[in-house]
Amino acid sequence: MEKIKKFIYIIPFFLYITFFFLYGLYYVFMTSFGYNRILTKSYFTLEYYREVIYSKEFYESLIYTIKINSIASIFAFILTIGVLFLVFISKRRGYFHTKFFQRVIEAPVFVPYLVSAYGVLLLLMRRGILNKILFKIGIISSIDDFVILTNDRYGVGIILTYVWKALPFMTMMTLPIVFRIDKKWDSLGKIYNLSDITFFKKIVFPLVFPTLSISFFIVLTYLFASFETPYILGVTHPRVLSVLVFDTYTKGSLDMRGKIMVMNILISSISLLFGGVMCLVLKFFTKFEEREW
Amino acid sequence: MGKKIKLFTLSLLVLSALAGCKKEENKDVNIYMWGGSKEINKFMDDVVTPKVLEKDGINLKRVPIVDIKDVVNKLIIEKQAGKKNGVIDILWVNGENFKALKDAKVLEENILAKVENKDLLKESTTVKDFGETINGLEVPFGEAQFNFIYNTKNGKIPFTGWETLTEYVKKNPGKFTYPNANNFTGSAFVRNIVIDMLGYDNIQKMTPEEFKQNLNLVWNYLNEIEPYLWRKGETYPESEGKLDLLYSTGEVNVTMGYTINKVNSKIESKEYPDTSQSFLLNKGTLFNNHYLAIPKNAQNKSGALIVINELISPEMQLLKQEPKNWGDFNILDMRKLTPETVKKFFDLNKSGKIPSPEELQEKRVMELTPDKLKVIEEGWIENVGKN
Repeated sequence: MEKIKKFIYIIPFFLYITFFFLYGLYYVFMTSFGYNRILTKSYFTLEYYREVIYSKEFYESLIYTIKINSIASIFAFILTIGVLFLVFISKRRGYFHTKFFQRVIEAPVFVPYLVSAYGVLLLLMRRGILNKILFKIGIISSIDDFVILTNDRYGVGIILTYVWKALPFMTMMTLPIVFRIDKKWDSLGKIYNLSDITFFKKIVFPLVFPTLSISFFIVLTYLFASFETPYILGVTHPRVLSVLVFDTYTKGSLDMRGKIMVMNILISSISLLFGGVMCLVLKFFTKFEEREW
Repeated sequence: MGKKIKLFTLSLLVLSALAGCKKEENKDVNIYMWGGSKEINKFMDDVVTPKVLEKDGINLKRVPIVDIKDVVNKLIIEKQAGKKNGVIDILWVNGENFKALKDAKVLEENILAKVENKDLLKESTTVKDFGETINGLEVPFGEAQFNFIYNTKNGKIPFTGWETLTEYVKKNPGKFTYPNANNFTGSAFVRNIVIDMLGYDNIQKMTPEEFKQNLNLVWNYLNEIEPYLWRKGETYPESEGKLDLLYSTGEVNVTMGYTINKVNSKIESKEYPDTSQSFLLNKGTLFNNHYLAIPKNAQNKSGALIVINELISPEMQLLKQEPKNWGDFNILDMRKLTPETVKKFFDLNKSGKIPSPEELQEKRVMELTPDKLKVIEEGWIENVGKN
């Protein structure tokens, strides 16, 4: 009975997925194997896969994408721990209104990536807001002294935007846990006379770690396929994968379709791989969590 | 017997009336067009739609799309699948996409002849679209000419051709750039330079191989000026919008675009300093028309023709050309209009921020064919963009 119930709950979701995604996936797969061709006759071929797998451009983009995403996710991960600690301390010592502070930190979650990318651009470009302020108060003597942070070769602008978006997300996922732990384990800390730092290190951090790593993988997976930020803040070359696909799609002729679909499939597979890792991590940690809680 | 005949005729009448009703019912016309410009969308929704509803009782529905290429694919696939009742009644198209549609034979034929206002059109606009003969498959809608915009506060017109552009960028390092050639505007800039360096007539005579060879000259030139560009050419803006942003914040001195009235529109919306002005190259800049077409499987072809006729009427073309609406130039032959209308069109040009109609007419070159365009775009990415 329980099983049937579960199945019924899943039906609306399943129908939605079938209508909007499965056909798309089917189309992508078939096109990548040479069916559904708009020009010339369609027949099975692995030509498109060969073309993509042997192309240098694809690898350059792949490596560049992975580099930028990992750096951004790792930064966000480390910074989140810092933020959690700060909020934790401020709550314990009653520095300021924690609820309000929490809202402020979490606010960027609700800003779309497109908007935040433009925001970062307007703020940090050469003639941007920050630069003008620094110039006005005399920290830099000329506007051209300002370091280049947007549309730079190393993707600093992209990474900044990603961190700015991922940090609040990770905080939002873990902050309630921090508070809960504090409530539950507070007395233990008192018994052993733990300082705030030791309490955070010995009790809060290990218990938050599983959720934090899962949100890390979520961010990593999401960023892998994200498009707007690198499109606006990236350089002409190298490009991240999603921008490469977009450019090929809009500029290339119809016979490029197969190649584009292969790239799409590879992007999806890599994302899925991250998802798989996430699943394993989740399983691994739930074993611990059940024991410890 | 009499009664039977009476009944028969009555039922026939009722039937025909019903049939008539059904025919009347289709008042919807779906126009598929690129939805990326706020000015164009506003013009279509706030000016055109109420006008055709009031005048012809037609319910014009604008369907915004990201890339007209999607529609091209849709029509081709629909033809393959044998779909008769398509959803697109009118589409806004030109250049390589028109060629693709023409090759696939999915456009309604001879629509130009069926539009009443065709007699008012400039004859040159109805012959070729990016070098592809039109054959009445399209009706011209507007005229575009590539132009550069600079701030008169910074002195005289910065450059008039590729040689003077070199001098200019060397004198003002970091103050000039163009969108990357994956972008529509960037590709047009590169094309302009190609034509400026190699000459339009020479290019027409070249075989594809020779053309590729000769393009190396252009790539060398673009690589030579690269260190003097914005960000030393390490990156190029990804869109015209980004270049506009750089221009409005003063990070670069020159911006560009296809809409002749762009400078007036942008000053009106306070995005550009009001000392901005547009200019052309001495040997001319690219010039093209954009068109309206009807797919073969459109459901409301008669309605579509009425709308197209309305869109090319002097009244609508005048509204379209107003900088506060869209600013796009008209495709009408001034000799065939009434003096009052001509005066109204003339008055729109009075701001003095754009070149005179004579100068626009004189300094223009035709677009290259789509296959040459592709060679240029791919060549740029390989030889310039990746450096």
